[in-house]
Amino acid sequence: MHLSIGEVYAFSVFKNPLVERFGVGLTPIGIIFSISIVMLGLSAAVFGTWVERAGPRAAMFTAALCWSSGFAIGALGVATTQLWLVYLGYGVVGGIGLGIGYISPVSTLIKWFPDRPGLATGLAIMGFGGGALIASPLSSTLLETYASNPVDAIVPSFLTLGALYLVSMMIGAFVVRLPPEDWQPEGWTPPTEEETSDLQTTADVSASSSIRTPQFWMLWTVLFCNVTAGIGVLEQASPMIQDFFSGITPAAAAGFVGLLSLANMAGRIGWSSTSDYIGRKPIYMVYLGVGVVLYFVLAAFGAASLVLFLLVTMVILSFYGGGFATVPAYLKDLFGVAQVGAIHGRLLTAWSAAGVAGPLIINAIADYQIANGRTGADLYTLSLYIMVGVLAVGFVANLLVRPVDPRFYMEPGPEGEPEKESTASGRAAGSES
Amino acid sequence: MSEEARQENGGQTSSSSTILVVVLWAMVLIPLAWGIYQTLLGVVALFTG
Repeated sequence: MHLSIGEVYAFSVFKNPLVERFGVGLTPIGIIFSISIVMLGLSAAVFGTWVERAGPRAAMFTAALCWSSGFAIGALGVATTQLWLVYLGYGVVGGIGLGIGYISPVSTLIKWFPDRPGLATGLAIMGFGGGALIASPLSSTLLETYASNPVDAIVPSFLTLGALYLVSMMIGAFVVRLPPEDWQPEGWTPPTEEETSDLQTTADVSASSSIRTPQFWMLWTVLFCNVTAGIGVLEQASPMIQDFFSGITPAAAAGFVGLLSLANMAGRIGWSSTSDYIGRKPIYMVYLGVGVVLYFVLAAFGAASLVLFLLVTMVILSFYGGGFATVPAYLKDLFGVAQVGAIHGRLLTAWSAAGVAGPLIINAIADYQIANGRTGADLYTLSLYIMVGVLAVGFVANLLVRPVDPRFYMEPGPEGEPEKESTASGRAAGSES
Repeated sequence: MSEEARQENGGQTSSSSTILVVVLWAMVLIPLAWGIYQTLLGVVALFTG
């Protein structure tokens, strides 16, 4: 599922052919990607509760239809030179598929692997990073194969990708299943209240209640800050390294983008798995606290050494990926497993917001610096210092995360199922918020 | 829970489900390995040119 929808990160491969096809600038074409990322967050938030209620199979089926239809409608838009159809297809319809597809495996995996939720969700969300690694060379190959001019190959390439992703996502939908109610891994027993850490709950909080807790908004801030900082570098990676080091060719810069993609993917599985051992709050202290230091080093000394620049940016991008992959397990710790998928969906609106804020900060300041006659690494220094501040805000927000007040817990139903929320007066005793 | 239900829900692993797991992992890992290989070819350019 995630390997398929991760294609969205490789959309830039189609940018230049689409610019030529529609005869417009980069900005109107860039809007296609922006719409899809905004729709990802919005649809994950809106449909999160439905995904929990309908189950992963129905959700994945729907995601597959939306994602592949997005390519088909987009192809129609390209064929008829109607850019709005591409916005509607790849952006809106495909974006809905992205949102539903992104959250659909999360709570299922946490239920299958309650002993290693970080590893389980890390593996899935690593797929989102890996999807771009497949789609980028695949899309390039399709554009070269279908026609001598890439512009003429966009439509068949879109249709091919849509068909491929329809099949692969349907296979995922076909094989996914929820564990039985009493499932637990062999040799593992659920931790008791005494055995859990302060932030881990054995109760459940509903999605609608979760957004009334300060913990949700602290985590929203944490995710927003971590993504804003990372996406700003990722989006400008190619021009940034060429501005920092004058001898870097465009081909070498493309290699740098690939290196960051690998670091991003490795961070998703590596750091998320590590969080199973050291805890979610401490791992975010690392992402944000060490991130502050690394962005400072990049701003102050990045231009001094290519090796230093590469190492620092790779670790930064590994934290960016780790932040995405660890957050479902963090939510599970705080809010329980019952509606973690729906809560995760609501939290992903932070990604949509950061997807706008991060590139905006980097691009606007670079344009301002260019207008003031600055060149090279100076174009980015101020942005990187701003990112230091952004990460510091996230660090403080993470520090402020406390256990959820028990008044937000759902009360168990007759069969031991979480059923409804307790009243404020019902279980407030011993609350610690 | 019945034996059938246990197998259906992953309580036990049958030989057919082992094959299915291997096939599904291959479907994920083969394209991913190809994508990583292609990316690494590009990364080489960073250090050679």
